[in-house]
Amino acid sequence: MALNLAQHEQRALPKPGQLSGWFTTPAILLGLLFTLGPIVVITVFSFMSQPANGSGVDLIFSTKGYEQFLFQEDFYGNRGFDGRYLSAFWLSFVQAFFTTFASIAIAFPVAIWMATKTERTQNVLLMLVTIPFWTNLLVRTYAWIILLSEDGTVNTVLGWFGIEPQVLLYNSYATLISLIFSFLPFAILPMYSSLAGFDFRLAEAAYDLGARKLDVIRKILWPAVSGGVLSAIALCFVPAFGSYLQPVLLGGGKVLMVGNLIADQYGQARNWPFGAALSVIILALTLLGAWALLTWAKRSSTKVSLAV
Amino acid sequence: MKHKVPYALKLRSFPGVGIAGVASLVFLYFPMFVVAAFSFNDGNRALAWQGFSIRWYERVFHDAAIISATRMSLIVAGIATVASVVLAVAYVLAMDRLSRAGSVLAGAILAAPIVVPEVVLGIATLSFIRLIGMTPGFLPLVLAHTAFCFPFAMMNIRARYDGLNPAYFESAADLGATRAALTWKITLPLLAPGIVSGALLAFVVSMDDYMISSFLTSAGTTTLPIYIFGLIRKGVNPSVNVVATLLLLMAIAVTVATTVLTGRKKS
Amino acid sequence: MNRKLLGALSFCMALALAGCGGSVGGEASSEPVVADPGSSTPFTPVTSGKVTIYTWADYFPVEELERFSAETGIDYSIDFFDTNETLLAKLEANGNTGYDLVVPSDYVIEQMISKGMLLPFDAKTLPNYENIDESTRDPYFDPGRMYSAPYMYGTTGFAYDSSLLKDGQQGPTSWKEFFAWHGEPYEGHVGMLADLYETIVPAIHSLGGETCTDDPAMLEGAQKVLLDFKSQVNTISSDAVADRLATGENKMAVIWNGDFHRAWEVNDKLVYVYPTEGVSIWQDNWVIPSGAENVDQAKTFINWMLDPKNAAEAAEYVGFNSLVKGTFEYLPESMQNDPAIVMPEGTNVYEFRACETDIVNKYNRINETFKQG
Repeated sequence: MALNLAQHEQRALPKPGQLSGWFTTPAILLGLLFTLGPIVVITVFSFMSQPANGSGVDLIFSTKGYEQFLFQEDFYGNRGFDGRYLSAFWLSFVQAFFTTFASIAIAFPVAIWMATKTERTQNVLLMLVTIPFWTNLLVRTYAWIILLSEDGTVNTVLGWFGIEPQVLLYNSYATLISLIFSFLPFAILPMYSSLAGFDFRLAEAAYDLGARKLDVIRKILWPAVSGGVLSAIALCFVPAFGSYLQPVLLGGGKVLMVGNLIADQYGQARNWPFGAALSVIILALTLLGAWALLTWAKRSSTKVSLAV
Repeated sequence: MKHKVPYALKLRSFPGVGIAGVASLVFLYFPMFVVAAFSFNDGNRALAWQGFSIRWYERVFHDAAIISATRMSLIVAGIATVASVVLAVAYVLAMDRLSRAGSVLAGAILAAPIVVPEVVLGIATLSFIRLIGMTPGFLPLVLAHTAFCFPFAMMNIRARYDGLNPAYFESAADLGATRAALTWKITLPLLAPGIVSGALLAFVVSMDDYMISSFLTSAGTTTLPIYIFGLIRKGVNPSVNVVATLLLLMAIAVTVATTVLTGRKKS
Repeated sequence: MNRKLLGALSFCMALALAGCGGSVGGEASSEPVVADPGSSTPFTPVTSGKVTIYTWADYFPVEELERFSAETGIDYSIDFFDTNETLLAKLEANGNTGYDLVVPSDYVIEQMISKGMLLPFDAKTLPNYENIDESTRDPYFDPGRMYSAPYMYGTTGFAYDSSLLKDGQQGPTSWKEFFAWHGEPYEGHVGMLADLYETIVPAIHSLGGETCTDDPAMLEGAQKVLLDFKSQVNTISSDAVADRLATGENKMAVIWNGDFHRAWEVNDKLVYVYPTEGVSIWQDNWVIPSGAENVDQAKTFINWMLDPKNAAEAAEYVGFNSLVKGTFEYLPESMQNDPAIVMPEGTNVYEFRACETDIVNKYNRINETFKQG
């Protein structure tokens, strides 16, 4: 189950049991209507104006959705730069960055560990890493409420050592740890799969020839795993950047990330054009990121795949 | 190709990776284990252990709201799975006939739900259905689920299809099989493991979705994730522990089934 | 083939967008059903069908819904929201359809009526109309009760756990003292509501301002009050506020009096405070969205809820006072004697009023800054 970011290099030979090209129509129609269609519409909406009072858009051209992102009137009616929404983007970036960084840092030794096991063990370990991947994200986030509550598991354990209950929940650290928990398998799986075919005797030989440990990691292992790392960045960073459940459930209403900011515009704040504009900005950043990854991959001729 | 590495060699080369590996697995499983354990707690809310009991399971199995939300989720996931798998099979069997540019474009559009943040897809779909005059409800919910389940079903089916051995077909064609017969009698049965694992994953993805559904539901189409999100917002809740444990079991079952199915391909 | 499809799609889009000056979603769209005043039909009790309800989380006992179902033969489904604004957003996104009964607060009803979102069912045609307390038969938000019937009313003050105070320490008695509280025993355990008005308005009152003030200095001051207070705050949420206070997750909190009462039943050292600057008093009502499908079932339900016995069952569950006459006698003594439920004479109150849109926008900004800061 791999989806190549870089499209397959050569045309496949005519395959058995092939159907006429028209059979792709229903799927393409679905994609046009319910994937591309919505993205086109939201882009259009981001340039429309907000109705006097409420949800929806008036079909009158306006760039207010984008202006709002950077400029606001203060209480005295002076228009000026306002960095509050940028700081929500910054917080999302920081959270996504640490999520991705931590996930990859943890996944690296784990991937080596898995790849150096016998094939049978590898399959079992692969399964063990895949199960959390397919477990409901909502309940995996909920688990951290149980762990971090004031009368939760962690504080209970601390209590055994005579440590007073700590406030662990409802802050950006709780959000971050659950993000790492959520996306760690997204890092382990592609990094493992790029190491699964690696011949570890290479590393062994390097040792025998007197290479230092750091050199072995840097010059032999890292090149082998870097394709997986690129996939891991794509798979961890994007969803962490746009995450909604973790900041809402574990942030206690105090952690404002882009995901909940956007959801709020279609909820409580009832400002569709602004929500649409924020979405377009996120989409543009995602595309930019994907393009940068692909360019990097091409230049270093690394094969990137969104292995699931 | 996987290489067997002598145990001693691995230890000498990479000390500490075993500790990291085991620690990561503990990190990934401990929280779920705690939830599963507390689903058997007798207490009302208290996180303190108050004795073993299956009364919360009985409660959940008799909770009309949870049952109807589960039924709604199963119906939506069921329809979305069947629809996305049927579309995916047709697409995979015909995609090589598309022009190169066409297939790149179609592939990008169809895979987009994996890459686009869910919250964006959610509000975009809501905006879209309002533009074409629909209101949130069952139909848009099912259509949106089908669209974002499609890539997951498609990837599995395609991986299986790409791995098929043309030799099977040459002999069948030699024996005079028509193209339709070839597709129905040989290709589809050979694709079956990919279809089943693709269907399982599509099903799980649909059952898992909170974000997109939350913008598309209306009265009477509350899905299980939406219902339990409401419960979770109120804090720790024994019923959620039970539902969480059941969803974990579902993930285990699906992963094992998928591993078995895709594993057979190699042998 | 793809090019053709793309072409067809962009053509469709162009058509859809051609009517410039139109609108999509929200109340002004061509799609949503807008109320036609005078379209109400006489009351006809029904014994079948179903009714879909959208109300505040934890604001109606499910057992009572089951009894309603058993007594009337009407099936039900119920969903929950957390703020008035979420309710508005969902109804607007749904084009006013989907739900037969919703429970907004007073000031929101005024807006919904003016935007044509509600069905004028005329509460006076209900057999149990006589049970509505005389004081609220002609409220400012719905003169003549054309669109609404009362559910609960209450106040939003604050509460703290008095058992945690050290000897000689006094709990806060005003919004000013509430927001000035820094340090033990409540530091880092204060709960705020995820509600625009219930956050900004107290801050403004703590500075001696008025509810819908647009005095820039006052607004700036309110923002500063809130930001300075942020370090004390644990949660900003309107969910499970009673639970949080009862379990000690919040040790001091802005809270609705009914939720306070429920927490107090668990911990009787909790104290409810009517801040000296004033306490906001509000009223929630049953209304029928203009696109409701099961209008007769909805009216049957409203009429059923105007029966004092039925109103009392809900009131006892939520801990609030009802505006249905005769309900109070059915309430348990613990509620009848709780000063948080029965407001003492002479309490300084201010009624909830919707502020002008541009003022609301400023309040929204303060609120976002508070949440983020």
